[in-house]
Amino acid sequence: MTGPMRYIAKRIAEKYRKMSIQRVISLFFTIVTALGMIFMGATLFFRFSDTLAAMSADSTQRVLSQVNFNLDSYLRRVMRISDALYYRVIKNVDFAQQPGDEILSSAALLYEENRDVLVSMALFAQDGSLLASVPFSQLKENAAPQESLWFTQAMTHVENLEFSAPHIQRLFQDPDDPYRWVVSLSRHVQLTSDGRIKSGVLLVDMSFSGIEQVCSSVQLPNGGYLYLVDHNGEIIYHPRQQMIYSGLQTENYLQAASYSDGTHTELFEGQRRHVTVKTVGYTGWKLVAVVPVAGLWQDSGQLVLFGVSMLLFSVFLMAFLNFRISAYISDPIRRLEHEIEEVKKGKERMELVEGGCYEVQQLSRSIFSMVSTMRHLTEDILQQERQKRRKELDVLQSQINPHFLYNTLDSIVWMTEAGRYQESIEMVTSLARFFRISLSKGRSMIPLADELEHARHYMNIQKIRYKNKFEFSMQIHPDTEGLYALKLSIQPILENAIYHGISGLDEDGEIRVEALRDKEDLVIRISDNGAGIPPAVAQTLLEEERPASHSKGSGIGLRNVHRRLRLYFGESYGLTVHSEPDEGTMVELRMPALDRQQAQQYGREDVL
Amino acid sequence: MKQRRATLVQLLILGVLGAAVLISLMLPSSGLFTSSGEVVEISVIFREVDAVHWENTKMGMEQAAQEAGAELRFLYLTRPNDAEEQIEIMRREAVRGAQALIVIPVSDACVETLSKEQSDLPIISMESCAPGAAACIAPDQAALGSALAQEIIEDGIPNQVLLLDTAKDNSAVTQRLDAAQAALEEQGADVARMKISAEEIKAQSFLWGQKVYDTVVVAEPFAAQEAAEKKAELGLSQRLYGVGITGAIALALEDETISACAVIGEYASGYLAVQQALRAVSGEDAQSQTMPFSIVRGEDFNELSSQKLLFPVD
Repeated sequence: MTGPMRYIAKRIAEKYRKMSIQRVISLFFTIVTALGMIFMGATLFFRFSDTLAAMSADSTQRVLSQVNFNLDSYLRRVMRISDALYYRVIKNVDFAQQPGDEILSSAALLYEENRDVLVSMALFAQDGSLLASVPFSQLKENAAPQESLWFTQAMTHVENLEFSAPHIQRLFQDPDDPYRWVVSLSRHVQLTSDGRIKSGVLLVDMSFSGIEQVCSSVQLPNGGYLYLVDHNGEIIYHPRQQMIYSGLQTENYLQAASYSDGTHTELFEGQRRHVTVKTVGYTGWKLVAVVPVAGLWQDSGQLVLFGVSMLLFSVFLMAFLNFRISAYISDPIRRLEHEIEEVKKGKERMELVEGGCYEVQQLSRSIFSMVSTMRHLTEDILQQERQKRRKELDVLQSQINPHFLYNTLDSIVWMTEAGRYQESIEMVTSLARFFRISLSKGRSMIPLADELEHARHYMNIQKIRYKNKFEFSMQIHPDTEGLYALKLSIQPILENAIYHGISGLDEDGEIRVEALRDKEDLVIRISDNGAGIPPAVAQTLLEEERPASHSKGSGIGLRNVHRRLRLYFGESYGLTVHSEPDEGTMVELRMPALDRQQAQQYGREDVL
Repeated sequence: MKQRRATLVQLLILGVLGAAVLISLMLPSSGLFTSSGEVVEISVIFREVDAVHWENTKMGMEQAAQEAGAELRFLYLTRPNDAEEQIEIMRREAVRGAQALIVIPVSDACVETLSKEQSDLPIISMESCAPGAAACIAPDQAALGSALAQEIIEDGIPNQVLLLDTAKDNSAVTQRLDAAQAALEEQGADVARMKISAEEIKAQSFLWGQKVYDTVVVAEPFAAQEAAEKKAELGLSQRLYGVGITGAIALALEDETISACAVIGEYASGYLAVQQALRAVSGEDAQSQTMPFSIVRGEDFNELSSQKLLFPVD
């Protein structure tokens, strides 16, 4: 395939791939029906044309046969007149006895009986002298019958009756019409004169109008016409005869004279014509019927228009069916596609697409069922995920420090035994408050104020236990008021600060908690001036793979809180540890700044 | 949006197809396929009192009119070659509603006058090319005159030639005679010219008695016929030459009363005149035609080709 064709084919293939189902159905349906209609139409047209041509030829043949019969009858009538005059009159007289009157009276009678077809009858001697004639009695002074073609032909072909082409008869003095068009029938005759046989010529002139009448009465279909030529191709009759004589029109008569009997097709002056030829019996003349091929359709104009109407109606019907069928198939698919798109965008419930053919309905039901099942499964998965998270949270929370309770109760016992009742009362009170907030009715999200109070009570207990070895302060920014925090997120950090930061110090330590709002985040910073954490350790402190430390406290506080924060709020939240050895450590908690309603939505649980 | 556009396109296609079906079904009864039936009326105005000398021309006109479905109205003058009467008839026909005129003008001024008055009415001039005519159907008159003169010369250079100027101001006749005169004088013939009406030819016997003229030339059919009759009546021996053909002229040619005649294809002239008039009526340009002519003698009547030219088949 050449380059441009390949390019075109490629473009067509691309367009086809992108075509909608309706367009594909329409296109192929249209192509198939159009091809079918063209084929059917062409077949019918050619069949009709052939039939029409055959019918026209047949009709022309019949007409021609009838005209031939009429013309033959006409000519035979004149021949019978000539025979009658010759055999019944001329042959029976002796010209030596001057039988002029006898011949004239018989001839006159015959003439009167046939004057509708005859112009004149005349008998000439071999030298051309006039022996008898009706109705004219005198020849013109300069008439020379013996020089006329009809005379010489008759004298040459003694056995035949000779028919001439139409010509002007100039022999006689005719006061009415000295120059009349006639067709001459001439024959050689034997004249008896005193026992001797002499030659003569009997001339019967028939009116050309008689022949014209026979031929011109014909009506051929489709604008056709009929004309008559002799065996030499000379026109005897033509409906446009004078036009041809005047050079205003041409006719293919010479060619037609050479055709055999039957129908021929010719091309003349750019026009295709059916030419039917029939030879007229005795004379050798040819009747030629000409029917233009284009004329076959001339009278069928309305029929052609009707055919066009039917074709247009068929196209209309096909187009209508085309559109309806393709819409019937493609509309439900299009609605189904739209529903799927809506579902993809988050529509809760898919509408079942009704209508269309069986397969489309089945497809629609299957997709509806599949979407419904997917939704259920998705909800189940989400539910399971939530439960899993909750369980993880619960597990994580339960990992937080049981030793603290034991140690605190021990402290309360020895302080009571030591008579330090006030401090033991404080410790008990703080412990009660501590555990009450720890429980918080099982909720994960509690007000920040409660979480900070929880941390304060913890620090109160620890300060007593550590004999005020450190100072604790809180700085709460006003813009954190009303916010909620994840329960038990500060206390483990403080526990870490005490055990790993402050406990090894020689001087008094400082632990500080700062709560502030950083745009949409709640940031809680727990800082101490303890020993700090070596950088290598600090980097891996929050990693899951890091083995748990077995020092005081649970050792998993930081990772626990970090994991809980990320589990609850997402990967972008959690702890950040900043530490400088011998300087101190600052652990930053970051969680979303949630008010009550937001905290409720986050946890999908009621909050305090 | 896309779907709506596709629906609109479909409706448009169906609408167009439906309209096409309706139109194609209604067309047959709309009358567009039938001819309007309007008949074109053409008036033919001769310059003589009858069409005896124009029978062949009339036949050609009638043939053309029959083919085209036109209606012809033949009009003659009460006085031959009366220019005023002809103009009056032309005016009357224009007012009556003739859609075209075919005129054998008495003089060119007749056509010129009416063409100025009725500029929308096409006039076809025959015999002579009158100014103002939409077209003219005529032979080359000068060539015709020269050819006739040549025929005279071939018969023997005449000594004294009399040219009878019979058509008043008719330019065709004048041109013929002028050309013949020039050709004859060139050959050394002594040419005289006389203005005389065709009717007076038979009455004016004195001129025929003057033996000095050995050749007489008339340049129109009526005059030729009258001259031939007079010559036969008086048994004169002058050579007579004419223009045109009628039965009487043909007889005169046969018996050599007239030596030769210039003959125009009159049937074709008449046919073409009507044809060009119809073209002019339909808004097309009418085209002038220069008609061929031939010089015919009595012995030519034996020829079938001459017979076809001289005696149209009716």
